[in-house]
Amino acid sequence: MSGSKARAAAAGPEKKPPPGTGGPLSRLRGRRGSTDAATRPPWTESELLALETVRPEHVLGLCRVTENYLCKPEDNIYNIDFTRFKIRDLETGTVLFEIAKPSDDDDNSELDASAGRFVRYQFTPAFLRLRTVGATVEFTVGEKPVSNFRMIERHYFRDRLLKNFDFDFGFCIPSSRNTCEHIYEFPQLSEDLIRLMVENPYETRSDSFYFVDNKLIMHNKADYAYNGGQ
Amino acid sequence: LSDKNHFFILSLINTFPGKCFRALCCKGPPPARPEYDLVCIGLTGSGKTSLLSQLCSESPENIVSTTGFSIKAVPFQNAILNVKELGGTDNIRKYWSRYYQGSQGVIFVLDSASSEDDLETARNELHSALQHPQLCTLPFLILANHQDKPAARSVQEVC
Repeated sequence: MSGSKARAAAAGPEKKPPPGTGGPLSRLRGRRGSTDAATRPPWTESELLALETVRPEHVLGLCRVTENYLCKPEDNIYNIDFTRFKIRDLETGTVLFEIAKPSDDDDNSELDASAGRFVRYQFTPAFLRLRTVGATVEFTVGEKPVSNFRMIERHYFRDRLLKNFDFDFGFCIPSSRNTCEHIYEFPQLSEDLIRLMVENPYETRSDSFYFVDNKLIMHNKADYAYNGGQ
Repeated sequence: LSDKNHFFILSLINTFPGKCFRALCCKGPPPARPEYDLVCIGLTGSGKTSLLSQLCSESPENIVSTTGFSIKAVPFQNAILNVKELGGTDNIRKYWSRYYQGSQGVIFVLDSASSEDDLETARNELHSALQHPQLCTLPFLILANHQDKPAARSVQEVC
């Protein structure tokens, strides 16, 4: 599952942080400034594929969605599994979208390792007009405690970065099931861009990178269409 | 109990009237509302998950015991509370302090109708939290939940 979208730094100027920020929980808002290409050398995918270990700073320099996965399914030694994803419109409380993994099927676990890395979403055009949603992600953790779990998710339309989302889950209890809901404010998209996104299904794509102790252990992908119901 | 902690002891019935909280939830323009990071703790079964679901206008059905953390952004008219709710079973409680850093307030939920032993356990957990270096200067909200149960102790008794 591709993880959640949240209040995040859209590609654009930094906003002044509101009062009450600073603690780890304020990371629900995502880290700011990490889309600034001027301060970070752009990494190419082939450079990253050659690395022994991929770290957060490497993926933050990517300018487009990757062609390949940057790690293997077996790199997920903490057995982290995303089990549910839900979006609700915070202005009405309506659940817009929900997807849940069926409960444990040990027989299928070998087959699912790769199949679960990619999800295709189809939304209606109205989705791009939403302003504030709550995005909930649920995940389970294996028997090893996870000391520093971090997700970096990057959304692109064609070769343009729309949004970078960076969230620190911090410590995860062994054998736990955890949920996290973020409030996500949609970035301002121009009418032209909205039209292009609707007219070009699945050219909006995302990479979700998951790190434990700053090492990449999981990489999921998704693509998106906004022409549903037409 | 230290003067540094501000106590608000409320008694709440287990089912919140829908009207009351809908009035608090914002349907207005997107927020520039201040945000506050809270941690929500209490023994298993005290009603933490139910409480937060109700505050978010979500159905109280299908609630299961929290076996890790559950982070929820609870919107109000003039603020957003980012609440990290932690499971209250024995094996989760020992990890509570891993999540205290950065909190700006604490919600402690207890079952007013629980046994004396459980109430004692809750009391001990509350005292540990009150004395923890990362929480001891923060405001605490203590909810004496399950007041609708016949065996519920009144707020005065809980204190």
